[in-house]
Amino acid sequence: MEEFVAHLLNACTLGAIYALIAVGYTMVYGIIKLINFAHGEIYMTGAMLAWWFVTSLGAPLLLATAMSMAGCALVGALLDRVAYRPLRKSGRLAALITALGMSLSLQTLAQLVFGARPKAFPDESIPPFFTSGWKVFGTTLYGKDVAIWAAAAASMAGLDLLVRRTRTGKAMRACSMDPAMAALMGIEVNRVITLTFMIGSSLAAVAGVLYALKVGGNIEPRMGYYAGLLAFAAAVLGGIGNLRGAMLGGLLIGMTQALFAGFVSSQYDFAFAFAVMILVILVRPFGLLGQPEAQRA
Amino acid sequence: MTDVLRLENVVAGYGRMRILKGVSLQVSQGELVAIIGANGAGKTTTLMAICGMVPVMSGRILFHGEDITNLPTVDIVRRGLTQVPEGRRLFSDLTVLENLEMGAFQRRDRSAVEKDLEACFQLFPVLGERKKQLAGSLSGGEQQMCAMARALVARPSVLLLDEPSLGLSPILVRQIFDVIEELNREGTTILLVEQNALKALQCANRGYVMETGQVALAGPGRDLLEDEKVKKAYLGYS
Ligand SMILES: Nc1ncnc2c1ncn2[C@@H]1O[C@H](COP(=O)(O)OP(=O)(O)OP(=O)(O)O)[C@@H](O)[C@H]1O
Ligand SMILES: [Mg+2]
Repeated sequence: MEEFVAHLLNACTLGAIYALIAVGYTMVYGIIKLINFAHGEIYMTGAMLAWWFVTSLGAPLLLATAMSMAGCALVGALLDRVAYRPLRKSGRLAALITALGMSLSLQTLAQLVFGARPKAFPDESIPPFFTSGWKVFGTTLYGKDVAIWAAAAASMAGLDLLVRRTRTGKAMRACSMDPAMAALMGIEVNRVITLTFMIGSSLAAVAGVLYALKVGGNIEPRMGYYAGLLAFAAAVLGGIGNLRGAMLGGLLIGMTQALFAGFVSSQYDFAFAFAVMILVILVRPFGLLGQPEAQRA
Repeated sequence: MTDVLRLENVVAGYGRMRILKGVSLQVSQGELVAIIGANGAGKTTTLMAICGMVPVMSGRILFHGEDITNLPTVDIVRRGLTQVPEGRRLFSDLTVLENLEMGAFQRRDRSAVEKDLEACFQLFPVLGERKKQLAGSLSGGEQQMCAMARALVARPSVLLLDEPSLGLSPILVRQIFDVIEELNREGTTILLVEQNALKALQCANRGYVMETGQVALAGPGRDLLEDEKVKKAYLGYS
């Protein structure tokens, strides 16, 4: 029982983090039909920048995270402007290959700038709440898990509200349904795309920081690879292009992976999470909350 | 010169393919002008070229005397030109109200927009009843009204309509045409593409007949209705 609860708590935390990354994949896909493989590297950059702001500038964690969000928003916007926008009319494959290239480039760049050695937030930078704990069902619930859930939930609720309620959010949805028609309404599609990259990237930055806090370090240039792939799987599981689907998918993939790692094997957890995703896709080709294009006409 | 819209020898198309082979036409302030023609004649392409959605290879498009050839669509729309495209193209996962809000996207005068929304619901009461419904779940006729309303809340000075009566029942066709004539009476300049040549030419001040990417005939609506060629090819007389 204690073991189960402990694993479950971990699973929720991992799921929340994947959900935060997955929304970035799904938003970008929704609007330009591109799997932005460099999104995992934005997540890495988020953790990296926050670490740098804390250790080099002595910024408090919260401020460092906010600065890192802004930094990643900028990186995301640049990525689109420099790498993807010029290819907008050249077909999906060209953009997809570019995305893979950008993923590797960002990894290499991070290695050059920050080095390959794994880094961690210094203990004194972590708020005491994170290390406090409470007994629940015989196991310890740590403050950091609660903080991660709260941060992830707040970010995603904010995002959901933005996309559903605001003028900008409605324009985003309009652009993802029919960009040409959106332009005909006077919506500047490229600006909406830039904004989409910025929002997705800043949420990935949050995820990067949360992950580093959860595992107590492991900030290194390759950290975005697995997390990115799993979050991508999560977006597909939820129905790529569907925002709430990505949140749900992230939660499910993270929980699947963490529970499998906890109870069966931490060597095959990654493969197992993917297998589950593939199985679901076989039964529901458009993901859990996705809809076939034809039904939308 | 009171030309609001003027196409001079416009050649346009997709990739290497030239679809419009030198189209010239003009629309004056307050006019209702119809374009008729067989399937594939280039009517939709003409409207899309005007809106900057199909590249113009040569020739000019003037709006209120200013050259708008190949400007970004957004800039053209902001000058007061709005299109109701062929096949409605509503944002199907947005509600009716949200679709209309997108129509008013480039407007800043919020309170006036609110008033115009109300006016739209007055004009099309069904839309008012279905404000919160997803546009994709409307019937064909309701979708056409929604597409019209979405264009109207942009407060265009020139409205381009691409086959607004397509697939509608006779009663709805009449209703749509009533709205078109009413708008025109209130001062909106309208360029109307129609398969329903009879209706279109009856209510239009002037008409153009397009054939294979060119203007084959032009003249006052009444005259075109009397033209033997038009009668044969587009009005179904033999
Ligand atoms: N995206 C496109 N790419 C290539 N060719 C196109 C494209 N759209 C239209 N065409 C071609 O351009 C020609 C004119 O098409 P257009 O849609 O302008 O005709 P139309 O007069 O509006 O016909 P309809 O009455 O059937 O709507 C057609 O031969 C069509 O095949
Ligand atoms: Mg057409």
